Amino acid sequence: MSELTQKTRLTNALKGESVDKAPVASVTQTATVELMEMTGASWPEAHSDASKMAKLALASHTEAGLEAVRYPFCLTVLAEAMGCEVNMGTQNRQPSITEHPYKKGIDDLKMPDNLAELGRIPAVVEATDIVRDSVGEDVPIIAGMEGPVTLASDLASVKKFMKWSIKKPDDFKAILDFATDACIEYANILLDSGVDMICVADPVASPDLMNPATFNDTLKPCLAKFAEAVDCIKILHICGNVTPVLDMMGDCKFEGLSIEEKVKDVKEAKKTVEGRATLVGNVSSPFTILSGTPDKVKEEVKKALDDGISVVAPGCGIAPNSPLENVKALVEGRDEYFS
Amino acid sequence: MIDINPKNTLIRYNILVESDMAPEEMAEKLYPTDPHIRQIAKAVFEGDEDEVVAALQNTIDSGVDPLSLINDALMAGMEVVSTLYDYGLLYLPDVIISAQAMIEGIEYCKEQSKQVHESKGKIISYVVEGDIHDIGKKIVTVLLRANGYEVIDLGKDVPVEEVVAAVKKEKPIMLSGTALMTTTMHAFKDVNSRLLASDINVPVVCGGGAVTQDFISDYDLGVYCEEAADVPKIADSILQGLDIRKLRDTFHKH
Ligand code: B12
Ligand SMILES: [Zn+2]
Repeated sequence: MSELTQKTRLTNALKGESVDKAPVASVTQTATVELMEMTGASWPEAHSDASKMAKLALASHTEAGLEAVRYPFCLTVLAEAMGCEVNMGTQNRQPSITEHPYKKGIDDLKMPDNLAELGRIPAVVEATDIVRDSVGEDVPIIAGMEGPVTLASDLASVKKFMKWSIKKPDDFKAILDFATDACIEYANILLDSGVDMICVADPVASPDLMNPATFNDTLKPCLAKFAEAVDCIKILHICGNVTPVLDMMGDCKFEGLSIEEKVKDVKEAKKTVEGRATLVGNVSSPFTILSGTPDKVKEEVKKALDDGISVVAPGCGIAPNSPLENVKALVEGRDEYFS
Repeated sequence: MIDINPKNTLIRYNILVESDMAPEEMAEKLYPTDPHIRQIAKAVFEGDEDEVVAALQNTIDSGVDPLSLINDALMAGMEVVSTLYDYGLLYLPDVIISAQAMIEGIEYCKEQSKQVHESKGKIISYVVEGDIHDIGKKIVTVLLRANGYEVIDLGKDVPVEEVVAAVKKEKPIMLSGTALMTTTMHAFKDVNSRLLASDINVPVVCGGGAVTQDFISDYDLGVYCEEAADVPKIADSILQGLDIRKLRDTFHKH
């Protein structure tokens, strides 16, 4: 098979179509402190400043060799635009939500009518222009965003969200529907700005936090509704050992499912979702990319490919203090596998 | 978390988990046996605040000391929840609603108690800088208050400077610090050295998911402990005059 462009390769791989070799990308967080120092585009500024955001995101493509450009670097852009307060973190710590607009209840849920203008959304949109100018059409651009479940928990606070899941099912449903609508609107703003794919990270949907039965009854329909309303290639990332909900994730209508190394039996996982979704992952972010060696990274890349992973990627967000050589080893491992 | 094989035995409690046992059935086997106490513990398990208060009232009317019910019934119910959560039979939302029911029960017991409770001592409680996981800290704080301590709750993501300043201002008998992430727990080290630099020798009791005994033992002021329920016991021991070395002898596991 002739050499594909990076965009075609990633698209095909996620759709389960044939490729010359598996693509290597990070669909989750890509920035590291080393890249920040090389580019002069550092956190926390790169979370808000479009040119820094673009510069830092590009570095993981040009310097680390990842075959996509992926940004922003946090899961708080939409939440902030929807009224959450955010602590912007530090050079090696991601932003986090500190205040929640709907802690008291769902009586005055209000969808902003100018979402595209709020918070850091304009910066993300502008970053897309800069990235596209720099890489052209052949390199895929992936926008990351928080998923409806995580957004709902940010809006209500995790504690209220969980409480409502048992005690106030109607309110639980209402905040989820509201968050789903916001996610759809934001994803379409991102698409209009010219990104190729969207990766939805929804850590709060993990069986670490929510009962799989709740996932099946209430969360899955939100994710599927999102997927139907956003017309592009989509990847769903859920943290932790998602084995108990993998079959349900397969019903969510995302092309790719990004999983961590905590999913122990990847071959079985592949069988579970075969025909409905492809798998992205699963080199351990904390244990291998952060604290392992390039050889260990390559070993896990080969194991992932043997197990049937379609897109080689870190299992979860790359930790900022990860050495660049370990990120580079993702591509080296893939190249050795296919040579 | 422990991988749960349903055929395994919950050895700690000598209970055989049958393959398809629901958490409610498991809980039935773990509640205390006294019928009044059992009813309260069960209401905590179910996260039913109204039922907790009703069951407490019943029991108090039968002549039981309200304050004793905090440890004997409310915390016993929460312990069942924690056990089943640790074994993967319950999920985090269950922990949260039960904790809330326990908290309301504790408030009720305090109201009902005729004793004027004087604070046994001041304690500072916080979650380390960079870490927003505060569910466990909330539980620890409530248990300390339930046991008669005045708790200055600094909240989550608390900078080292702020902790040190609060210690200087409040002069607590101990600190209770929580860290859930391996990336944030190093903040204990800074608190430890900053306090030592100011000649403050207050025990810094540390817990939360990420923290291990070996890690905490490296710091002069560090005392490690796993169970939230042990934190009030540590405070009691401090009042009885145990120093950091003796606290470690008593509460450290190996
Ligand atoms: C709930 C949760 C969240 C919620 C937190 C809500 C809240 N307000 O607390 C949300 C969704 C917001 C969240 C966010 C994140 N999380 Co989180 N989260 C969890 C989860 C699932 C449960 C934690 C919990 O509340 N447990 C229940 C409570 C009751 O337990 P506890 O706090 O340990 O407390 C008990 C004891 O430890 C003890 N205790 C507590 N304090 C003290 C103090 C003393 C002195 C003593 C003696 C005892 C004691 O008493 C309590 C009762 O028994 C864990 C995974 C897990 N299963 O543990 C991940 C986990 C902690 N999160 C993790 C991560 C990575 C994150 C994020 C960075 C994810 C992201 N990429 O966005 C962000 C962090 C943002 C930040 N800067 O902190 C990782 C941490 C990994 C690491 N580096 O170590 C974990 C371990 C998940 C994982 N396996 O990857 N998370
Ligand atoms: Zn993840």
